[in-house]
Amino acid sequence: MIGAGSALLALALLGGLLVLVALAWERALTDAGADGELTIRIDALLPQTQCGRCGHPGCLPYARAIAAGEPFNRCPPGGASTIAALAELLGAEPRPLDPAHGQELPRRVAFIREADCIGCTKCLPACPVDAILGATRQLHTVIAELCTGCDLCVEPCPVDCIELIAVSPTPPSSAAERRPVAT
Amino acid sequence: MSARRRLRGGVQPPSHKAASVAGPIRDLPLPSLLILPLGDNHLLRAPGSWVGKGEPIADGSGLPVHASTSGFIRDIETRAIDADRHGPCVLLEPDGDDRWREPPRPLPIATLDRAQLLEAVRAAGIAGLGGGGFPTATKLAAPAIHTLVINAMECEAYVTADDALLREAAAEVVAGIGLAAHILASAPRVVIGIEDDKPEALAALRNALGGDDIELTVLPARYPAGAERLLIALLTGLEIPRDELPVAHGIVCLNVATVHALQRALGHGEPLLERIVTLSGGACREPANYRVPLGTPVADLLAASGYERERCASVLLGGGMMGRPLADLQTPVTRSTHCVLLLSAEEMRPTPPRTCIRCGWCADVCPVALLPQQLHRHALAEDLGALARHHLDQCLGCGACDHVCPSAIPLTRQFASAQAALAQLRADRQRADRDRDRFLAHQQRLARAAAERETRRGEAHPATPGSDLAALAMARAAGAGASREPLERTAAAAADRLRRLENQLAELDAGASAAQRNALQARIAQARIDHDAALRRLASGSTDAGATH
Repeated sequence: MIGAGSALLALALLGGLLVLVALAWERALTDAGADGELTIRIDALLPQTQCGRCGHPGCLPYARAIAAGEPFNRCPPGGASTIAALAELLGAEPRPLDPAHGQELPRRVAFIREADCIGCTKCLPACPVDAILGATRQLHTVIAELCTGCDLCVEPCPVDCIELIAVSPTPPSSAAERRPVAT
Repeated sequence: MSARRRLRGGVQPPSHKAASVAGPIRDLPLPSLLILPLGDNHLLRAPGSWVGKGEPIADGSGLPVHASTSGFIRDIETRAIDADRHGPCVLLEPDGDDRWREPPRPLPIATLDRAQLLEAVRAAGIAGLGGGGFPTATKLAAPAIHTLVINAMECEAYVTADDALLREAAAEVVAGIGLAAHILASAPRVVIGIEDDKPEALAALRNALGGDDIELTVLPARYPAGAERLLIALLTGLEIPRDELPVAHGIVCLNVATVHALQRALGHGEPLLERIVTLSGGACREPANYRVPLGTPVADLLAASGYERERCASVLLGGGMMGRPLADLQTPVTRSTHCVLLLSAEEMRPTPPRTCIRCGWCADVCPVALLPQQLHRHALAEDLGALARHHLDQCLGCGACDHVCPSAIPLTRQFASAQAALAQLRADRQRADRDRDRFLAHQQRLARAAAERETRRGEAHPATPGSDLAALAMARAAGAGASREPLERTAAAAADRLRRLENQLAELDAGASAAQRNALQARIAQARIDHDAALRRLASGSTDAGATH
């Protein structure tokens, strides 16, 4: 009896979960459904840093704006390669990054100086991808693997303890440049 | 005992092999410092402590790192670990005694089960010594292996480490092959592939095999027939796709030096502490094979052979075709180091690269049937999509196309960086997809939290400041009416309590003390006060409610 009861309970839970998943999926579909094919393809080329430096609150809104005719050279994290990809998609000439929106930099991640953090939690909601871990009056830290380097956590910090540090790129191939061919 | 299939494409570069196998394998004096790449491991012993030869000094998710000789652990430092990469390394200062922690003892192989044997192979730190560096225990753990391929090809120019090993220790190699087959536990067919340009090694191997049930296939020397997948195709006819492992197709391929290490580990109890390295090249005064403790800096190896800086145009880590220039001579010899070349200026590519003339020779020699000239064109245009469509992933980097290119274009180098760029692009796309999902989840979470806050506020303050006073008054009236019920209940409870106490007093017998009687009377007095107060509150509540109407 107990077995049957718990099985029923598990089934009910599973059913509930499925309904939730289905709801979330439907929502995602309708969210995406509002955007045209072009917007989705533009969004796929944007770096998803969600930094807002283009003047829009996230990459998808900027993709919508580009689809509506806004210049496509306003994404500093994407830089020249993203501009080139967008130009190809849109059948337009690539142009240089608009300096009014920032400069192209190597990938960076936020870093919290632990000695200075006061545990105010103000940086937590600022992170667009929930990559900061922390609680009131507890030390906060950035999950480097998840950080997009968007910069948005720096401003709300009252003690200025967040800095962005460059991630060392994949090993330099300087040695490969000098490869001779012995025969 | 003859070649069954012919290699597609391939080249026959000058082998330059004779000089380094003329003499026996030499021993190297102990270097003053050993540099042992840590990999994905953590240090088991504190810096400063003494470790014996063969003692594990680091272990974890990677292969264990052993002390190649006895000495003191000095520190962990970031050092060059091969021609292109840096990584954390344990620095071990030899004490010169070369003393074992415990004298090595053979393992009781017959009494150990498969799991124990695999653990012993892992604990001995054995990885592919042909250059791949793949953990051998992982290969041997594969189920249902039908063919064990032993790679004795050594097709790379200059390299003779396996040749020398077979000449001097063919019996140990054959014993190692038996052990590998035993651990696989599926009675696989065993095939050895060897090129026809090393007759002494072949003779030694034949002699050691005796009547063993092992097939020996002699293949014509042609580069790069010794590449794992190409050799498997030559010996078994099975072509393994680039994105799959041979074990998934029931095949394990091991290098002769690897099975030799297996025999040393299980048959003698010695973990993998040294390997044979060919030192050769036009600028090398005494080309030879050396038995080198793992972690020995390349500089020490060069010093032993009389390295002359001015004669040497380039130091290569690896063979003549796939070797890579070494910028830092403090790079250590690792499990994958089979050759160090000192090249003279004459051995270097003489001319600077010119433009592609579309001769197509590169396509003729490519062992995996790619079109290097097309790849070259797309690589120049940095068209990663086209490179992927032309199967850039399949490129082995063998350098056969470089070898025949009349325009001296460094094709393989170009393909390697294009492969890295393609991998980087794929990784970036994956990361962007993940970030998009996380951003969406973040926004949904914020929206949900805001909605919940709104709901809570609604419950706490049903009447918002904007609503009219009449509605407010009516709500209060309804609240007062609702609150009469608890007041009535309180009054009834107080009356009940008073009645019970009065009954107790009446039933109190004559024998009860005055103190008991007084205490009870005091409680009755208090209960009467409470009862009166409850009645008053009930009455006033009714009056309030009546007044508002």
